[in-house]
Amino acid sequence: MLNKVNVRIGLTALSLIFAIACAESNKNEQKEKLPNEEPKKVEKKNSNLFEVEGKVFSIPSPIQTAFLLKEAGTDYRSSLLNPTEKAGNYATTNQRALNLGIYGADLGYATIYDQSQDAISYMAVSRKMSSELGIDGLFNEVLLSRFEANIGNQDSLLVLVSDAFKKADQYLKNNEQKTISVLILAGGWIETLHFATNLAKSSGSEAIRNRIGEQKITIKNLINLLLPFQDDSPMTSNLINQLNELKDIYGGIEFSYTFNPPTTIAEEKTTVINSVSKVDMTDQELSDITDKIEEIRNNITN
Amino acid sequence: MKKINLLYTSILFLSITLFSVKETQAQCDTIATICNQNFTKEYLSDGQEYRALLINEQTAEFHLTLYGGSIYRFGACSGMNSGNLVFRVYDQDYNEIFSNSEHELSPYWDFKVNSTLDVIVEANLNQDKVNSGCAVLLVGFKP
Repeated sequence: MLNKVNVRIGLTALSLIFAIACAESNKNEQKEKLPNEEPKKVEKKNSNLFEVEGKVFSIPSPIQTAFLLKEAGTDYRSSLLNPTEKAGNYATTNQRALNLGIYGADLGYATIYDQSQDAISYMAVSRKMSSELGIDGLFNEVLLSRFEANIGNQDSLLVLVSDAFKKADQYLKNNEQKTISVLILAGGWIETLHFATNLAKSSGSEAIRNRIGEQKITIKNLINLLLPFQDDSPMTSNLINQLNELKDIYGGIEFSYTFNPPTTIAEEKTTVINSVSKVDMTDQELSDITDKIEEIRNNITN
Repeated sequence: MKKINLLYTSILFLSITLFSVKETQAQCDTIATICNQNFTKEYLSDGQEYRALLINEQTAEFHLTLYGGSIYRFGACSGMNSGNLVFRVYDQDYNEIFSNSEHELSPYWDFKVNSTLDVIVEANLNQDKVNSGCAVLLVGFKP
């Protein structure tokens, strides 16, 4: 009887292994070109859908908005960054993860403005925070040396920073530490919005103002990313509550979208997305967002 | 004796499962490395990597925001060769923006974005070539 049970368990195990290990199994059939299809509007499908790693939402890179701030003509303001001396105050895993995201955004900001000394300091503090989170193998001495060796070469530095965070993200996901991965993304997003809101009024830049308004889309994605972890700690649930309050402020902002057919240039492997969107945000709404993001950030950094 | 057998079977089952998971991760790592070759140095990673184990007709879906005035590159790969993954891009209202099935299942494509929008990327295996496998999606942008 026991042998039969063992055989059954064994077969189940083998089936499972087969299901996983047969990944990449190739058919011997000749590949056929798929038929061309006209661009179309499709009904949203609910069945047969496999969500990417159970979470389907993505957050834009903080570096993109930092570039926008520079292009808008704003000067570098080191006072906007979270002081590196505070790193020692962050004792819990969640605090460290959120502040690694914040320091990572600071690192990107300093790098884009060619602030070598600050960039090195923020790379060093990112290394310290990641080491405390157990991902020191990625932000290691080699990376720090390569970073220092490439000072003055902004393109290379940004590649190093982006790749380091991508590897950290993958490492954490592979090791079932998705909460940390999501909190790092959240920290980066909060810090970027902190930069933008602080610079919007003084610069008078319409581009920065629009970018702040456009976060109406992203904040929903961020909350969706965090929701599966809301019971992990009081800090996470509190963060979600605060982000929901921020989302409520965003609720009053008009974000209109009009679809226009895209243009594809096949020989350049490029599609131009011609759709148009517009943000309509009052000064009061901008002021409310500024206050709220400061409150959220202060709760994380202080 | 029965307890020992059960314990032995459980340990064996757990070990094999853990081995399989690690094996799958290693396979995804290899595919991600190959997929990354579609990104020249002029593209910066968005700092994230999206993976899914797909079987048969399963579809992976993810949502992301594309900022106006930017150029993005999407890389979508499965297996060691190109042409194993079909990917389509839709806007928030499911208007189709792009499908690589119309472009020889190209493993990467660039998107020039005039205005900020939310897009949905769907990916599934080219069943003419593969039944199952790790799907990797990478996103880069031009600074």
